[in-house]
Amino acid sequence: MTSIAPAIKLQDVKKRFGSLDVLCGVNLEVEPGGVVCVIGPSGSGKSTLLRCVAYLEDDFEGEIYLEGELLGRTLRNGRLEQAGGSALRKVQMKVGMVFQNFNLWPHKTVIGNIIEALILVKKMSRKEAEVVGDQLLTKVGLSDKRKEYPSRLSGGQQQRVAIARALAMRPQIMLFDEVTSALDAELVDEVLHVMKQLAEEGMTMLVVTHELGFAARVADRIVFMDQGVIVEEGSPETILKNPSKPRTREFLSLVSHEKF
Amino acid sequence: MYDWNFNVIWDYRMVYLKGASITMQLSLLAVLFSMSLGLFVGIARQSKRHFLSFPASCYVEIFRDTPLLIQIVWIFYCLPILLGITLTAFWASTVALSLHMSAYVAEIFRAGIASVDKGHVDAARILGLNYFQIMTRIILPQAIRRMLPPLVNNFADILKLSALASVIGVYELLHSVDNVIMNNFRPLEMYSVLAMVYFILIFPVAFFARRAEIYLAHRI
Repeated sequence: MTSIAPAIKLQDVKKRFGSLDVLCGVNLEVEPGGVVCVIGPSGSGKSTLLRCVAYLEDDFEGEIYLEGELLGRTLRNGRLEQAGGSALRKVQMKVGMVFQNFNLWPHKTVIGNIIEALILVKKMSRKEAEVVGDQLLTKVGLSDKRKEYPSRLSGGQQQRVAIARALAMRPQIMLFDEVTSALDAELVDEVLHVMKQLAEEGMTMLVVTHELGFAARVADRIVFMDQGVIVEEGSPETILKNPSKPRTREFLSLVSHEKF
Repeated sequence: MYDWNFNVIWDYRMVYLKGASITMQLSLLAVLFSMSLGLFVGIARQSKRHFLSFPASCYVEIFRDTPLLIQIVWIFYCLPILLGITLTAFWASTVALSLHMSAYVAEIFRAGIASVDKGHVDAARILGLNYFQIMTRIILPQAIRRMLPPLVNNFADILKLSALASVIGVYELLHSVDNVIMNNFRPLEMYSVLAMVYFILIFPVAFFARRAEIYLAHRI
């Protein structure tokens, strides 16, 4: 029997900032097309975990495999070390990431934000890039905003543009880092709707979120993290309704106001 | 009561005109050189690599923490003796003014670059842009908007500081006027008009800086 390699596999990922251990050996797998939601209190290392997967953090320990291929490491003198600039950029192109604060470039229009990397990195012509950009804007329901600057958009719209920008590079996996946390309550749904649509299309997703309702509906698996380790993981049903660990129960009783 | 006589000024209009022309040449060259050098020093100072950031920091501190007057004199009188490099008074002042002001320009660039949201850089990195692309396409276009007002103010400072070149005999505005006063003994009229000429040169620059600040404040 042949097994399919996980879309992404994290093996013993550790990260410290100075004397503070933020990640203390995290192992995690996401199946191709799977959606894994990471929940946990703030400071538990969820965002750092995503930043390590995206290689936005330097000098973390452990290995990250994308479809079975070890990423961002080179063998030097018999030891695995972090790869240099261009090798890392190749990794980063395979991974799409959406941030809590959108991080759209304010000096570029909506379409300009989306096509920048297509032109500079994928070497597309402006025309080709705009075709891709327009398709994605239609997908996230913002084709009428293509010439606006980000400051003229609502938070929800900005986040949808950020999702379109990440998708433009055709990543193998999408990372979402608390993408609705900076949004007003009434704007959360439009972003979650786009994410749900992506999940249904079979995009592999690793989602750090406080939206337990979204996690319950969309995730294949929920991972609960605290103090740099995975405390518990399982189906949404198990984690949200019958968590086995007291720490998970304590966290859920503090944050959940809705029934799943 | 002092008997003002501004009629004499008209006879020396060419002195003011020529002096202003030298002042402008000196200042514009200093702006050009200090902007280019300041950009590199500013970027180097931001670098995580110690062998770039340390010399850049030393440079900024040395040139900001010593008087420009001393730098002008040092370059004019000491360089020929120490290194055998002889510069004309004009070029010695241009070099000194450029080196001095580039330390300030470097700080403006460093602060401008540091003011750009780190998240914008993360977003660019994850999309695969390299360092040069991130600097030229994402950071500098945003930073320059914030740097424009202080840079224009810097230009106004350069115009004023260029008067120091008079100590080594560059015939810029101040020195040209000093020279005339020794002949016509009309220092009050000559210096008053001199101040007005500086004002005419600098006011539009300062005015533009303020307008740019207001305009850009609405756009960022």
